[in-house]
Amino acid sequence: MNQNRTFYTTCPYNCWPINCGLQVTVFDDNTIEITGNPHHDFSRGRLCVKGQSCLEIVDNRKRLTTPLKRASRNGQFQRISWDNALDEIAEKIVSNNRNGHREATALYHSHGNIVQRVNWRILTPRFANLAGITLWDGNFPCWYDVGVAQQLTGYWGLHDPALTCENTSALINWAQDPCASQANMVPYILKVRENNGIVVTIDPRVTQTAALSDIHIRPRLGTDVWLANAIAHILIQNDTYDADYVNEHCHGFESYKEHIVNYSPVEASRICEIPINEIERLAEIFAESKPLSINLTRGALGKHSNGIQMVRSILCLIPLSGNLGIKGGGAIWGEAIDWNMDLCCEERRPDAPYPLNNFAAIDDALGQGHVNTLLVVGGNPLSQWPNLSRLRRQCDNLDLVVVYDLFMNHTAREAGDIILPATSWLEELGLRTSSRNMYLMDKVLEPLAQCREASSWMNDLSKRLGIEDYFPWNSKEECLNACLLSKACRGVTVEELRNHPEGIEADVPQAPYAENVFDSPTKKFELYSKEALELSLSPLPTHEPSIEGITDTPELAQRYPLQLISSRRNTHFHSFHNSHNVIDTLHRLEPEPILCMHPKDAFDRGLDDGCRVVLFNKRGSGRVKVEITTEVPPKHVSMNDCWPELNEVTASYTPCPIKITEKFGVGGQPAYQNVLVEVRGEK
Amino acid sequence: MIKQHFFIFDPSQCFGCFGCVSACVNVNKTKEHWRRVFKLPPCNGMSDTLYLSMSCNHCEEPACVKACPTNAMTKRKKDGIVLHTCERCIGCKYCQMACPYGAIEWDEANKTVAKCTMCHERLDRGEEPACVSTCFGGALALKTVDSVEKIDVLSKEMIGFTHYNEAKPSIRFTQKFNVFDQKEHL
Repeated sequence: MNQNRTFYTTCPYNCWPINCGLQVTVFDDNTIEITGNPHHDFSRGRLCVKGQSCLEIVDNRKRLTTPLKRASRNGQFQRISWDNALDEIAEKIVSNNRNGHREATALYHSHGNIVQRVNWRILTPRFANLAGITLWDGNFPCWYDVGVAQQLTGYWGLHDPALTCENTSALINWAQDPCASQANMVPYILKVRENNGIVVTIDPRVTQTAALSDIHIRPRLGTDVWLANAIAHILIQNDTYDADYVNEHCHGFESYKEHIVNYSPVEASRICEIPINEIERLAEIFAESKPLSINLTRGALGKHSNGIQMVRSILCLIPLSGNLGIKGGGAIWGEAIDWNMDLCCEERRPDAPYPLNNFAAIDDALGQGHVNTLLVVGGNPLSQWPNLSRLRRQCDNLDLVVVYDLFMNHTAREAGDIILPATSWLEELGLRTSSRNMYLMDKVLEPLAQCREASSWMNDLSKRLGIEDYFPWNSKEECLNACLLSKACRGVTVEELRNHPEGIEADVPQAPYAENVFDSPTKKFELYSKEALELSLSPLPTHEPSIEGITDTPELAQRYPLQLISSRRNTHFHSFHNSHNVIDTLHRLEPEPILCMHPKDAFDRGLDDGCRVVLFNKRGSGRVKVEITTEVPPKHVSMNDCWPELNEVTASYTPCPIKITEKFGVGGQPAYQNVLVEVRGEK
Repeated sequence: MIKQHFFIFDPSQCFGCFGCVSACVNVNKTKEHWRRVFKLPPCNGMSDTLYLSMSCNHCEEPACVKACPTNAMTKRKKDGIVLHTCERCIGCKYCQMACPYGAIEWDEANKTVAKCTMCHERLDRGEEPACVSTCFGGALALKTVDSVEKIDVLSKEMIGFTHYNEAKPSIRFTQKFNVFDQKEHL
């Protein structure tokens, strides 16, 4: 008799804001098949290259199966028991606490932990708060400066991608390449074109998204404030902006108008290195297309030293063109569903000078030795944080580094003292949220060997620290039901979600900010921000020279004349699964780091397509393979952000002041996009 | 007249995500990439990169079938799918050499060749081939024997792909959006 069992879950990658649905079938003989979930409201049964190969994560001989420990960083790892591993970690935390340095223990949780949204939003912060240790969230490299810009305008975007694309008449992918980073958006982007809308991509590179767009504008890297402000200049000059909306719902228009006069289209054309008619055409689209939506899903712009201003200048175009609070308008951005955040127990967090979740503060804490113990939960800093040679030195000085992951990764190999084996997403019960919906991630398998889910070992660790109520629930299901007790989640239960593989809609508005009340001090959309001024930022969106750029730092550019762009390919999700070296299908598609280079630059250096070169600057070097292509502009090179070779040369400059993070809780993205490099052929 | 299924590919809707490659690996439980995605860099005045997703083209006059000394390669009458029978394969690789599209892979584990089956088992169940069903852009489609009379209106070639008349590959090209011209001139 057929005993096949079917489960529904979501893809284990963290594309933002919506993850595709998975249908998992377990056959009589215990073999598993993973396909797209045809009921899923957004992905409708389709999966991208990573989703299709995700069975290789679970069923993989390279999985970590038991806790490991080594006596010295050069030594070999030996198996130890969970009890011994947790005893040692607890002993170190207790000793830090006894010495009056709670903050010296830091927990960094990143995308591996974000796979389980409840772990990321509630269960891990709950552990850090109850234990009283430093907590760093792996979102800071992704979008934290974008968040500051949103906070300063009072407008978080948060429009649903599907609803927006179905209703919009113009979609602007501003510095976004959703085709590479969020393939499930593509049917919706194409729908805009099918509905006779216009799709515009603004990106210095020829991207996969540019290939699907009607118009592709290629401004010079880092000149977005000029482009956005020049568009505003034309809208105001031609009186084609939405005066009624601006007068009623925006704050500081007169100052903004005065400021924008300085950004003439002629000058913008020179600085952005694009013809003036391209700027005029863009302004025309802003003036005439309604509703118009800007896709700001990812934090690419925040990775510039001037990122906060870039995002602000772009956000200001939305109310200016009268596209706020309407269906099909606004900015597409992340997810908005709040869980029962009371469970984080923030009020029980003991006082201590915890280093903030801002890279400047993190860098300082590690550099000054304020942190001596690092617990890395589902992250890989020694691949993904900037300036790796500096980070290596900082890690060398740490007393204890614990890595909890599915596979050995760069951090575990280079700096790990204790390694803890993680469960895959099929081995635990979990939840996902998107911008509007909630989905169940059902438990399909028992954990492999000695792998344990994060909340389980955190519970055992808590008990060793004298905390008895970290996990007061009788089961994971009971825990998840408690997490769902919020206004947005409407108290839905796991059982209800199980019956709805298409997802259950949360209580969030379809057109955010339809009432035109914004999250700013004036409750209006702030074109001018007094708060920004108080935080030593320009109160109006202003272009500032980058900290490392061909024209901004010409002396440095003489030595390192190539501007490095960090980008994304479908085959990788950051450095997941040891940069996908352990996932055969993905590894075969991009087995080594590829540096895209313009034919002219390759010719100048005598490099052939496919040759290996050393990418270097004063911070470090990495070995990469050259791909000669006109996809990158001259004097620019680009590389997939999943490879540690990229971060050998990136800078740890963190221009976002710490006091901003103190105030907003976000800010402090490293300036991954402001990097000058040179390459040399291998002898 | 031969009954033939056709792959239809639309370069204006393909963005090179490799989802089709991975879906093929996943569904067919193979390690080899029976389908491949080729990147065609901006050239000939085009401003964008194009992609070409291609597997075995199940040619109307397949060179592999002619080259195979053991009849391991056969062409099905009812739908023109070219199938490979592992048990009869002696691993001589003549088919690999003969195929003008490089669509035949070597399976090191079995010491035989291996290739796209057009997911004929899924087709028999009324499902689409794995690559077609997962395509986010809708760039890949299958025209079955029933709708084949309309095939003549579709292009036999695209940039980066030559239609060899000796083989008559069963792949056609369409364009929902115009990609072979420059982007809107600004």
